[in-house]
Amino acid sequence: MTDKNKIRNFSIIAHIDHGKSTLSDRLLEFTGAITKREMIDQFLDKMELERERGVTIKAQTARLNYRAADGLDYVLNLIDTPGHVDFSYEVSRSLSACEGAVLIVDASQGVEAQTVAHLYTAVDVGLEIFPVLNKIDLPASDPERIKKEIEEVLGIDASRSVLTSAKEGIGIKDVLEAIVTRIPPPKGDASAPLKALVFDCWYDNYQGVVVQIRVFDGSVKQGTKIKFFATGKVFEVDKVGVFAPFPKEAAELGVGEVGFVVAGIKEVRDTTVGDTITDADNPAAEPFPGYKPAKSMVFAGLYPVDSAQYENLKDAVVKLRLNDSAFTFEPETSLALGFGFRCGFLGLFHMEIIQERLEREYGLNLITTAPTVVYRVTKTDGASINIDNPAALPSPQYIDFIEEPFILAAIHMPSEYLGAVLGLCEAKRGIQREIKYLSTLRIKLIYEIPLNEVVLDFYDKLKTLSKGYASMDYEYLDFRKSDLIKLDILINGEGVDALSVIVPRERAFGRGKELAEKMKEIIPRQMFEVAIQAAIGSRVIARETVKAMRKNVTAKCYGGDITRKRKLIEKQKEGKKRMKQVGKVELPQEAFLAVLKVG
Amino acid sequence: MTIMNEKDPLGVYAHIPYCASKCPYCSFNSAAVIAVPEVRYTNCILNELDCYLEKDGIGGRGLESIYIGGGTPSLFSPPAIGRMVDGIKTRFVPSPDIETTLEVNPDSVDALRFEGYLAAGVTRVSIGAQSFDDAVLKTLGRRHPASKAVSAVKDAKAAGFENVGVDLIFGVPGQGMASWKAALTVAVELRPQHISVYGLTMEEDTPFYSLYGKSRDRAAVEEREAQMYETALGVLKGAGYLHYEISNFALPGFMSRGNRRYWLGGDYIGLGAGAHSFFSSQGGQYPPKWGLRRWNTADAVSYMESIEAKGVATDGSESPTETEARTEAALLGLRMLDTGIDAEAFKARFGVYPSAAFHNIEAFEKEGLLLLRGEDVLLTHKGALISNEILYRF
Repeated sequence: MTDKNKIRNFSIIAHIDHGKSTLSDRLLEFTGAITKREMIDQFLDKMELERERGVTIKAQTARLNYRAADGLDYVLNLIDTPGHVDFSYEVSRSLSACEGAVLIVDASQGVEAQTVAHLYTAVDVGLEIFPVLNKIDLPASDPERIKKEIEEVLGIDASRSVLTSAKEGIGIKDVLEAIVTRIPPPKGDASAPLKALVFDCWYDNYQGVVVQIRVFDGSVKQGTKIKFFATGKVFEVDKVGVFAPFPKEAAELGVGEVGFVVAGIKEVRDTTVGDTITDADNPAAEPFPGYKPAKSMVFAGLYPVDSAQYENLKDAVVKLRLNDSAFTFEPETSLALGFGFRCGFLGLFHMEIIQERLEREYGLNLITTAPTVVYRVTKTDGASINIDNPAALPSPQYIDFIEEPFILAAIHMPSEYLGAVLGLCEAKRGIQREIKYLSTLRIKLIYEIPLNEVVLDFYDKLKTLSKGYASMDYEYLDFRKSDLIKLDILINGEGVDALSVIVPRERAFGRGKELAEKMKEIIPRQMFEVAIQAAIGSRVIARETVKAMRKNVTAKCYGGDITRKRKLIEKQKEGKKRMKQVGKVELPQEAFLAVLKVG
Repeated sequence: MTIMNEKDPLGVYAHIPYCASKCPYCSFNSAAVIAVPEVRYTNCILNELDCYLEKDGIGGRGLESIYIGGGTPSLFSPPAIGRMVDGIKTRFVPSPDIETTLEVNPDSVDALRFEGYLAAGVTRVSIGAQSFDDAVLKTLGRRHPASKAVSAVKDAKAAGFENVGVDLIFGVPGQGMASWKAALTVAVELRPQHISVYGLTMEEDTPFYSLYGKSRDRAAVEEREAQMYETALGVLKGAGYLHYEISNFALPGFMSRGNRRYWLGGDYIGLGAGAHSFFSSQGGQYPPKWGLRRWNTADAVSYMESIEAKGVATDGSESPTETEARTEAALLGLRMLDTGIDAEAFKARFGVYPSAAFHNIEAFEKEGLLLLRGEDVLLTHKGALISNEILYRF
């Protein structure tokens, strides 16, 4: 157990590309946590997917041993945070496990959007923050200008910023010294009952669920009977340890320490992020504040392109849920797509990640239907039902009214984009609550917006309109009555249930037209004409036609052409396998997500 | 190893990779040269063949066809062609009615030269007229005017060739339907025994691809080309030509035997730069079960240097898997509009009929895209136009 005064728990906040991963690697290297030989660039982004997307999806930690200039040995716990708005709650939990944060800013580019949301979260949870100006080796770097910008835009004292070039290994020791001297040690009472925050957990094939914790009070070791506040479940600890960054068993985790607990837990759902662990025999009076149960906000159908893969998909979603408590699923049948699952996600990004993981890690070929939120439908007989699939919406004559979820969105952005962003919020049926000038250059907008508008393309549009500078955070508000109707899509006269969407009545006509046009762009020409119709009830409101493929023939095929022509056919055959056959028509994945591209 | 004899005939393809100038639409293996090294190159072709005779044990087999293609083989003088043809024949047992084709460019021939080729043993000339419209020929970057294309066909006939083929191209940028119809009419009036009509393909490595490859309206281009193809079908069938392959028409008895060998999956030896050889599985252990394909290095100089140094210039080879062999059988078999995929031959090779090996045959038949004759599978004319789409779903 480490003396808490020698512990520093910190996180790194940075815009993508500003050098978070490189700096993390350098810190690991400098403190000898990993050797050059073990170094895979960007060690902390473990998942292949994360490395490709440059976004951290799961939090990672690394315990660094460092002998500071004062001659004393310190333990520095680096807690990495997920990097996407879908995971903002997870970010807040990871940051809550720290006392301080290192804010990296590219000395040549200055403050950028993505930094801001995380920074405000860090300020909210009361962290000590100091800036690091990275990439000072670049000719375009201008530390003095950037310092001024940080102070003006973020309102943080930048006079004692640390200058680094993580790539060149410059200033790494200065960062470590600043962590020791400027970030306070953890507080906490070693004699009080155990109180530890769960900030990440995942399923491991050999050990069951591995829980990452930060101890605030008391201690935990092998044999401790731990209780989860939120679920009330009790487990006996098999082992505790730290990530250094490779897992290493420890005798005990005490006040201020960060590490993992393995306790024969079979399901990740028993251990949601943000929950508090205590000693079942000597429980703390209250949990760590701020717990929110993981909740799926966006729903979509997942179907195998090849129906024969249904069982494989079933196995895969079961396994994936072990590792992701925010992901839910239940079996669903679609007339057009056959057997599949209605799945719940935190947001669109989470949905994309899940689909990619299922395809990549389980070798599946999937169709995702358009994402939707949950609607609360009150029927004429007074019964209330929740609808997470537009196809399941009852006929209008049985509906008394429909309610949809609203969120409270906080948008931070430079003032020059105000006009454009206001326009977007209004177009997305937003209700303005507040416009606040944080400085002469920065604005915070507060809007109430239907969640459905946000899950579609709000975030992408916001990023585009603000050239990436606006950031957004949101929390769930309530259900509100809206005048909504179902818009159906017919392909060659047949309704395709998986393409139905729920839209505001006053926008149904425009949406239908746009959707039909978009589908026309997306659906490749087939061997026959394809008619696309948008309809409300039995009334067709838009029609587009994909002309038949008229000519696709290989003009010459002599001795030297055969291999090449065969390969072309094989490649095209593979491509066809990615299409879902609905009736006679082959639809690509994008057709099911066309609704994301309109409005 | 089974010893083969003249009952297992094969075909020879010899590639001449030289042209007087390179056309902007052509992706074939050819290069423009000032003078062709015909003696050296012909020596290489024959040396290469000798090497194969030893290595592949194909000596003494029957020889049904020789096809000299290019490039522009007619840049080679009649004596050079004669030496090549004779050299190839003497190394096999040629059938009495052997078909010996020479591809001819209208630009590089006259009546005298045709007489020379005939005397050299060539029995069939395939003339790359491409069009009978000067504007279209100019777009294609051809060196000859329309009048020269016409006279070439006439000269070949006058010289005594009784098997003359004419190649035409449609779908050329700027080529209207009137020009195409006129070209077909001229061709039919010249009455060659064989007419090929090729839809212009924008191959990625050609100047044409960068000029016209990314057409804004694919659908409109396709529609125009489909109409041109259908027009050709009407005109040529009306004039008594049989539509025996997707792009090939012939008067009865004049199908190209050399080319048909490819589509039937027969054995052929490819000689010269970039040429491909294929040995089917007939005969047991060697070659591998689903056949062996081998190809030469494409560059003419490298080819000759390699042959001179070691007798071979193989650049690569492959043995198709069973699935690949089936795909090839479909890809090639369907091209033959008169016979389609020969079901019994297919079953002898793969153990099942095509109907059991491929998907959607019934559906395509219902759509009028395929025709079932017993178990044989044939493309209809409607199906021929979108035959790739059928193959993607087979």
